Amino acid sequence: MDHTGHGEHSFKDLAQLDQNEPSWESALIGFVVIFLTVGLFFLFWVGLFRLSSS
Amino acid sequence: MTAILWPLVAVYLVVVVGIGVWSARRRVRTYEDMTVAGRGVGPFLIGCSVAATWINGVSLITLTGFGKSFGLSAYWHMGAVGIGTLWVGIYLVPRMWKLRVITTPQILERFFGPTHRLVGLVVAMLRDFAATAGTIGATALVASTTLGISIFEALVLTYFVTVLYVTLGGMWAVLVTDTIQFFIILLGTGLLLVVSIQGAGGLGGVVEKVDDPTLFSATGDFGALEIMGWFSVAFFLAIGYQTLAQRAFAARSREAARRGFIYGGILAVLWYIAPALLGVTGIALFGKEMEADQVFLNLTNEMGGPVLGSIIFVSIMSANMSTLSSTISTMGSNVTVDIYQRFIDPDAESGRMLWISRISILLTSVLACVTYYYIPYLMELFLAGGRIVGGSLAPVLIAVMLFPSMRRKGRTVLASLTISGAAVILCQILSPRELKAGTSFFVWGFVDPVLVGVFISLVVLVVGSRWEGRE
Repeated sequence: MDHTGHGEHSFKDLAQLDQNEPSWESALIGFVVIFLTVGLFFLFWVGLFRLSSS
Repeated sequence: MTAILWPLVAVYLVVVVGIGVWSARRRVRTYEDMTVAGRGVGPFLIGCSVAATWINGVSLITLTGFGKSFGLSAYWHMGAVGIGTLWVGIYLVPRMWKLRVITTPQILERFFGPTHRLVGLVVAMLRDFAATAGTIGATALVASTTLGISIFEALVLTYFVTVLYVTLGGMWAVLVTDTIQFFIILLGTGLLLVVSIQGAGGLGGVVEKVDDPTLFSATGDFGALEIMGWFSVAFFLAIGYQTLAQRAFAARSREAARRGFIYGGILAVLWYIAPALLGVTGIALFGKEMEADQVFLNLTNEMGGPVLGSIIFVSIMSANMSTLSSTISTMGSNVTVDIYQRFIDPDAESGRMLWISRISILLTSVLACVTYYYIPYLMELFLAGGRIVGGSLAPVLIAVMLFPSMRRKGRTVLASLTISGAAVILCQILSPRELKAGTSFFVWGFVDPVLVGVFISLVVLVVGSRWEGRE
């Protein structure tokens, strides 16, 4: 890698950057899935308190 | 407590300095070893280090206070950074790793040019400078009150030792000590949680004694909108945090970087339950009248006893030192790679670069310390830097990483960085105190500056790329 970030790697690298990587649509779906999973986990955890007090 | 505390502190400090010396002798040969651990790190070290970087003494004490004030929903205030880390790990980190850079501003030059890099550098360094200066103060204060020594002595014990092992061992030392620090934090907070809940009569006892259902609801007193506001702010801050990204650059492979971030994200998602729960348990044990910031320290003193109290003190110190070591290491990399190598001596040989990176770490560390003590009013500017990262750098990083067409829209990206950055600074100046302190995201018609920045970035990126595409 050269210090400017350009040079020998520049466009060859950039073309390969997205190879075998998920698209922005997958990233959006991924965000929803991660958010919902953590949200459900949090609800489950909050629910534990209701159960423990009843 | 002091009788057992001092030996524990001494052992801990000797171990971290020892790791610095070991890294310097065995691992560090070039400046790439110093800044990105020779790009040879596996997912375990990256995961623990990512989690340890997120968790600092401020998060322990302040978030326990939030838990006391807002209940379990305080979790979203920082649990969101775990979600952000997971998402970045899966969708941005693999592409970022392929670029083979050392710092985040380098990414901007790779796609656009030196102007973009300089703007990114100023934003990223403001954030790390704020984190460093803020954590120096918190670390010294806790050490000075717990050990009964002066602030100066506390600084020597904590900050000097941190700077010493980072200067010697660079990123290798940071990653190994972070991992040890993460397990100390886990042990300290885990044990405190167990004895506190037991002391309050178990989970059922906590609910009964607190006797306020809103503190046990998923959205608390504020409702879903406020919680989503907290979430969004923390999420974007996680994406723009270059200290974190540097751990990905240190990975030995694309897969190691991705898996490391997933581990770190999961650890953060789980760990941030602890402070919220400790806060609520604090109400059960000490009542609602106690000052929020005192809850964590009171739990430690009242419930911990001499041995556990000492372990918890060392864990607060570890949490602070792991955050400090990360930010000073990143600032050192910025000065070495983005300033010295790029603009002063592009052809400097490897041995020289190694020493330049050590001197850079020392200089930026001293500067952060001096700033905190002699010109504290500058802190407001640096804290704005943290928000610019979330409101201006994060949206641009998402755009250039996920949308290939954006990589040819240099003017749009520069406009987005500067306009949204200026908007964040303006909002930070005009914001009411609650927003500045981060305890709220929507006050009297003001929205958190990060969200204003994200919205403006989005508009500039969409409109600008269409306009630039027509030319």
